[in-house]
Amino acid sequence: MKKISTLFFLLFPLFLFAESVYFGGSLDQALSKAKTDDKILLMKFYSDT
Amino acid sequence: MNKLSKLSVLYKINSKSDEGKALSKKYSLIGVPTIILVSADGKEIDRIIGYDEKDDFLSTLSGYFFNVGTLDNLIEKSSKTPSADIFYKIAQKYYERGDVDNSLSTILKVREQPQLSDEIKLNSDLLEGECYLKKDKTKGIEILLKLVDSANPNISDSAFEDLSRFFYKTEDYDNLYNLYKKILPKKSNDPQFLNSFAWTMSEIGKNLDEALSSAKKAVELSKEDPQILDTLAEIYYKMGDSKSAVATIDKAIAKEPSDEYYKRQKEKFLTTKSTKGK
Repeated sequence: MKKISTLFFLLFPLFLFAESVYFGGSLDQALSKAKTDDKILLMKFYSDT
Repeated sequence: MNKLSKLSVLYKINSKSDEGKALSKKYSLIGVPTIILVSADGKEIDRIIGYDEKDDFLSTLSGYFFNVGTLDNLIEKSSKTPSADIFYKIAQKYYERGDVDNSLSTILKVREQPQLSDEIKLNSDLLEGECYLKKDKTKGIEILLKLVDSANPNISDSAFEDLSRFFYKTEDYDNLYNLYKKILPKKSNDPQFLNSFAWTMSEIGKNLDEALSSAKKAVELSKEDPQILDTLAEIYYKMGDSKSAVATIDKAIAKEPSDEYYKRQKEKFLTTKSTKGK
């Protein structure tokens, strides 16, 4: 039986994030950018295992 | 750049990295994947844990962008039109944020509501047990063990999953085994449950004889489901019977020839000695 977390991760909405551009700096910089651009900061936690 | 990038600044965090571990703790992450929406002033708007159906996911996410269905939104609603359903949702959101005290006090409000359905009541009991597992494990275990016996299969299964995960994580393997044994009589013909028992025992390296019987029965009931064949093979391997392990994983490979995992398993059985008698 494979690890459940692996199967669960496969169900993640890749369709939504596939073409997205992620911020490349630090979290503080991302928050500052969100404030400047008047946007919401969207943090995506994932696991690579 | 897609629409999501136009509305938000996207930041991805590997939960296994140092930054990810620190942020997982800060945000009391229950599991991954999790998406947390944060306003420009650094306040959490809401979060989405895991993923369900595409339409539901998009509906929830787009709602959060406009403060619909968020914790603040529900609290505001509850002050105008209080109901058991709204208070339950609020309690659940507090729990997801790791705020068990506010979750527990909101569960009390759920129970005070005049129109309390059996479903909301049972789900609140379940949530209360989950909260106590983080606050007072003895009380949490007591509440959830009662719910494992619930006639409602969804509640019973959820309580079982909460407890089995907790016992596994805390390495309380005796209670983990006892929990499975409590459920086994009523799930004795459920191949997925038998497989779960067998796999868990193989993971902790205990009660392998019983695990072997369960896995064999699960293989038969499932008509040789490859994942269950893999469990059986793993148990043979753990018991030091590499020959049977290889023969069994070969059946899984024959059913799913493109699956690399089963091939890696075979390689392991052929090249690595198991920790027999662990």
